[in-house]
Amino acid sequence: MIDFLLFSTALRDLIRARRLFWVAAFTLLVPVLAFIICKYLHPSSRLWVYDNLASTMVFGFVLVILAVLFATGALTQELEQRTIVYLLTRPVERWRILLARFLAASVMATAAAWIAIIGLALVTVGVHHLGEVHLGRDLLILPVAALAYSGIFLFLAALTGKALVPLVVGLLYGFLWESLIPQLPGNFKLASLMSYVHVLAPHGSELNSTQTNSATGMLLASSTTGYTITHTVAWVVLLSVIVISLASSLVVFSVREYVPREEAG
Amino acid sequence: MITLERASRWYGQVVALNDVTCTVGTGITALLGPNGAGKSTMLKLVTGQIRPTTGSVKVLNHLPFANSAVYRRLGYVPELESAYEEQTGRQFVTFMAALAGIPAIERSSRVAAALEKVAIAAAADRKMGGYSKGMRQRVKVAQAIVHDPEVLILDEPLNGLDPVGRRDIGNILLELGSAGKCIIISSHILHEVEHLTRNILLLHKGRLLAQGDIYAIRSLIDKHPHKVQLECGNARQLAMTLVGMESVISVRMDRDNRALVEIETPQPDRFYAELPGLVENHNLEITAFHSPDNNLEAVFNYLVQS
Repeated sequence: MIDFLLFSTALRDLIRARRLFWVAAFTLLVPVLAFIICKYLHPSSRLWVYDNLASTMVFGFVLVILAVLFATGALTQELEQRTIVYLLTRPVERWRILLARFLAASVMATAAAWIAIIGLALVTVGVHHLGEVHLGRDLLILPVAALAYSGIFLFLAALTGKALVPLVVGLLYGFLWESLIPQLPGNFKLASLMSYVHVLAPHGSELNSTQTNSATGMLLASSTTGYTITHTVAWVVLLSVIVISLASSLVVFSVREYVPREEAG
Repeated sequence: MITLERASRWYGQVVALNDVTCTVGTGITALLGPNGAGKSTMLKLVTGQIRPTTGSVKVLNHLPFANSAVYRRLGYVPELESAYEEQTGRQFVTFMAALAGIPAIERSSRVAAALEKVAIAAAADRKMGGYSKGMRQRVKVAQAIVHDPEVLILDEPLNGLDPVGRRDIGNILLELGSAGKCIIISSHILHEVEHLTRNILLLHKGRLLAQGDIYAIRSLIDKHPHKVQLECGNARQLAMTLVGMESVISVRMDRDNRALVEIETPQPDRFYAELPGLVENHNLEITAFHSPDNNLEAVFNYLVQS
């Protein structure tokens, strides 16, 4: 009961007008972009539009930025408005507080990404041709990816105890590291979470590679010489990231002090 | 109920609390000191938000940091004004009551009683974002007492309250104190807490300067003679009489109030014992009698200056 209360309160806290505006903007950006692109392309290119926007915009942008916003906000919002003291001086184990907030953040990131990809599918192929795109598979992998990214960003927030640092680091990680690392030759791609996500939810050329190779298609450019990520490896890595990052966050949150220094006196 | 044993707390190079040893039992204890004295740090240690750098802090025989066993029996009113702006006062106190483990079946009645007690029930269904500072203070007190804790820690709870609010909160604390709760109330405004308790902890620059009964502490400060002010219709005659007393070391008449005589005595007990006889023998009529030293402000000033 208390866990549900913590979860629902966290969910309500995350749905703030200012944040909702950005979430709505990022979420609707994808179908709007798809609509504009489809307007100028031949109808036969619509599958191509779905695949490319799903890969780059939904998985590569919307999901990551929403995970950063919600996962860091799940903790730093309480720290910023200094209401965390009320939670930390109640007879509830700290890890339960953070777990509820992590789940709320993941649910929000997933829901928004779902809306983006469903909107994308409806705009590109329409309601009668949804079977032509891998919408079901994408809807299944999005929450897994959301949990993994949220876990990492929550850990950053728990570790620093500050609002800005995890946000900036999260954005740099999400858009610099995750964009550049998979492009590098050899096995650099193994250091990118998105490589594993793309193996489980391949789109376009990744999909062809997956179908012909029965392994990962996320081997870009010269990376074909490197290690091939299989579905099993991708699942193991993503689930390990979720478990390890979440467990680390819970441990850090349970032992760390969250009192601003300036309040000393 | 609360024990600090050589507790110190550092923030980097800054020492916020320095080697403090004290015990706080039932009743109201005022934690006094100017801004930056270490009051909030001490209360954060007691409420388990931070750990001591050295020494130990125990509440109800437990280490308080992140300890649910302690929080079940502790209520805390933080100094901060921040609140869940989107929630109503009732939602906030209900949330806190739930986290404190109050069963759902009795939660709403306990919340209503707490809100009623701090006289905020009429505004309880308004969003806290629209609350005045005084209303927030009342709600903060309500969330701290809703689970009927044995230990109540209040960090500057009277800040921002109007005189009626101060009286109301003061009365609640007096009631809880007389019911055997352990209450620590911090303040840098001494007269705020003077009517609540004689029991004080006095912090200055992170050190515990004094603890115990305010009058007992005052009587130990021999360097500073006690001042006593007397008002009499025949002030000059009274002054002449007082000069003759061995326990009196100075007599001063007030320039503005011709009826007022102020004396200094290093032996207040002897002075108070001799005064009635003297007054009777010289047929003097004393209309007012006041000792400005027997208040927190004076004791605090003496201790800090020394």
